[in-house]
Amino acid sequence: MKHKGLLVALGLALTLNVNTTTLMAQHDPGPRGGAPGAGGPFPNITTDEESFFTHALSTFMEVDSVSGGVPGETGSGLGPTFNGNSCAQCHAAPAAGGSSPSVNPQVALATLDFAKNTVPSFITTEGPVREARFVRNPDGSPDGGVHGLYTIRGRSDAVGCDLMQPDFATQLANNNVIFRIPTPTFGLGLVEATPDSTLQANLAANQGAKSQLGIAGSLNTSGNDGTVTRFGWKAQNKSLMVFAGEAYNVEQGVSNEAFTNERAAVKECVYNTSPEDSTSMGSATGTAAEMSSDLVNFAAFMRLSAPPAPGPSSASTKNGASLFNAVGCALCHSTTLTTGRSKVDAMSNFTYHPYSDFALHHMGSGLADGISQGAAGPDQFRTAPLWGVGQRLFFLHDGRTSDLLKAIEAHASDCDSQSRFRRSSGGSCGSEANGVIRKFNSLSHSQMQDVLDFLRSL
Amino acid sequence: MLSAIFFAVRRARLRAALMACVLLVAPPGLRADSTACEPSPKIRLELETASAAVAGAPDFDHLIAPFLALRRQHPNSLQVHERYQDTVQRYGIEGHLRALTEEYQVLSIQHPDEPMYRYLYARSLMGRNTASAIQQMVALLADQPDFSPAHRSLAEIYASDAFRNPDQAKVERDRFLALCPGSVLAARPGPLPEPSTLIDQAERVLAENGDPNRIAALALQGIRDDERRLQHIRPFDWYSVDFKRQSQRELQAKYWRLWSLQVRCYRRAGQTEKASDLLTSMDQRVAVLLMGSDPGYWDALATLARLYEEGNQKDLATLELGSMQQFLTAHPDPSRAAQLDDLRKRVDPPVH
Repeated sequence: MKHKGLLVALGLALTLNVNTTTLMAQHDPGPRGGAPGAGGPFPNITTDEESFFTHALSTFMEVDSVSGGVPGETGSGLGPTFNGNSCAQCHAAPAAGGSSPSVNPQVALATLDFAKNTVPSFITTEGPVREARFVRNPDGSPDGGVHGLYTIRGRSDAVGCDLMQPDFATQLANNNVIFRIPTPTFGLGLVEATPDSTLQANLAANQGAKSQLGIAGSLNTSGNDGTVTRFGWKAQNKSLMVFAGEAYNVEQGVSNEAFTNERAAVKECVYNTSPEDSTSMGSATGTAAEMSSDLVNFAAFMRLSAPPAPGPSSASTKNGASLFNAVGCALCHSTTLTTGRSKVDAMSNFTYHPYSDFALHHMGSGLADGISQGAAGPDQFRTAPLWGVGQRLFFLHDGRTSDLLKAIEAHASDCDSQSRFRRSSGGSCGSEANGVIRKFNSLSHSQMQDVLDFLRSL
Repeated sequence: MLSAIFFAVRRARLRAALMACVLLVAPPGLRADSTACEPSPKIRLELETASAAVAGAPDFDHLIAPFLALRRQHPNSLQVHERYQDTVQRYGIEGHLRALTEEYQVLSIQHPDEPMYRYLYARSLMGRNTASAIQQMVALLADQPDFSPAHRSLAEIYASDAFRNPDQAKVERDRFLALCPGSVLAARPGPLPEPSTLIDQAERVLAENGDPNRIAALALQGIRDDERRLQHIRPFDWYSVDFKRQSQRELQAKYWRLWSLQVRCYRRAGQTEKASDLLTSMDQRVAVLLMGSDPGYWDALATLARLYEEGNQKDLATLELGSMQQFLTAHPDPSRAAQLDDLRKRVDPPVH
């Protein structure tokens, strides 16, 4: 017994030592500085498409209030529950369309316009923008839905609404809350224009190498037509329209043509007719973008935006790129995909570098969030596209770290003791990335640094 | 004498019996309430009591509660339903109005043979989707030509500014008064609350060096009152698009006055950081107004220039003046030019 305790202590000391050495030896160089590598329109699109993009960007940046009457908050439909008041508020860094900014706007949002919200403990000024999902309902059945951080209670434009925030403290105490951060939206027109068959073929490629490392993967699919879905942390959304429609409804509380019902629609807190955002069918004339709903504009902004441009390469980043492939990262973070025919000519048959296969992979208990969406199970996530990761501030689905090295290490994870997220097929469990991370950890410190430098160049 | 009394009683019985027969063969709508023109004295009293009880009610739930109770008590009283609807329409917001329409739609589906519910559903659309209300009442009258409440509602609609049709109004009013002599018509829409004057009051208190907390509270309450007022304008087609826009613009101007008051109160209390944060957010809002070519852009710039000038922040005031000059160059206007000139003199007084 004594020996056993000693061994455990020794093991722990060794682990700590190794980890400390690892952390000291190589490090995440941090977000790449300089001009944002994204945020502009896709190159070589037509003048009309570029005009649409410009208008769509302004819509993406529009700030919503409850009825659109507060100066500077001209969009309408905010709430009754919400996480943000503008797309660009959360999709902010390194440019509008990206992910969490360095200063979390959700702190100030809690009391904007005299709202009476308390900032939940998991929202901090320096932390990532987050949405919260509850894993289970009070009766134990699966929930999985987003519970808005805030309500419009107390806002000057929400007189009479007394809707309270969820009791996050209790839910946290019950271990019933998981978080998601905003996914960047740059270059998504390319993803949308990639045929299902391409994604299927890409997933089927390199089977030998994948099997050897324990990588499987599957594509999430639509329950309606069985086709591949690809947007969102669990690839749960079929199209950019659905993606935007869901976000507009869930994050900002704006009902729209894709998600027509107001959430948390207590009578006292409903101030607008539904859907709150719709295509203009009135006699007013304008451009196609001006007449289109916000939803169409949001989708167009994402569709017509350029993919993130990588930074300059160096000997280290070049070596890192080779190692990225050699250790097997690229087996899931696919470096190259090609679109099919697109309505946007410039995007047709275009080869791009998303560093994702847009497939779902089991990530083990360390990352599992207990939420199922479509075919994605509790520990499955879409391979996060790494384009633009060089300028990202927060990593992993819940933004738990700003350190790229820690994010890589978090890819390795065993089954939990209850085998709660044991894979149904094959009986194996744990993260599909375990084999790759073992290989990554076997690299020399300098090689690891090259991989990190490479990633920060993307 | 006795025989006279006997005959009188017989006549009364006969009349009562005849009335009963009439009720039995009458269309179902009239069966629901035999006093369709005006409420019975008992109902009238109960409605008056309910109205008196809700004076000063703190919120919508308290306001509507007595009418809900009355409706439960008298489910077949048309007037009780009407008063309930009027109260929701007068004090409710979009959510209440939507629920009202949905509720009466369900009732009309549940009682397909009851004109009263068809009518009440149509009535719930008055002012919300008045064209549809008209259509449904006309259809109802095609089936039940003597259903007086529908004539009354149509007369009221056609007499309103938004749906004015004097000829139709006269036809419906005459028909209604023929069926219900001595009854009166209501003006549609009902009265709107006047825009709040609390912001003016707050500005006066500030000028008199009053309590900053009181100033803030007055100003915010003024905004809330006007937001509530706007909620009673926006959902209704009684009001024109122009009137809605104008009401909104007036409220937006008050927001700038509210924020200005806050900045001045913070400064007085020595809370310069708070004042500065608020000014920054006001500047951000101005940038949005510029992007959207908002008509309030000029006034917002002027407000900021004045606030910076008051705070001896000459550089920032000059920036605002520069933006005003740019706007003026693009949109020449003599009165605005004079306003800008005046602001320039305040920011940079001429040296004598």
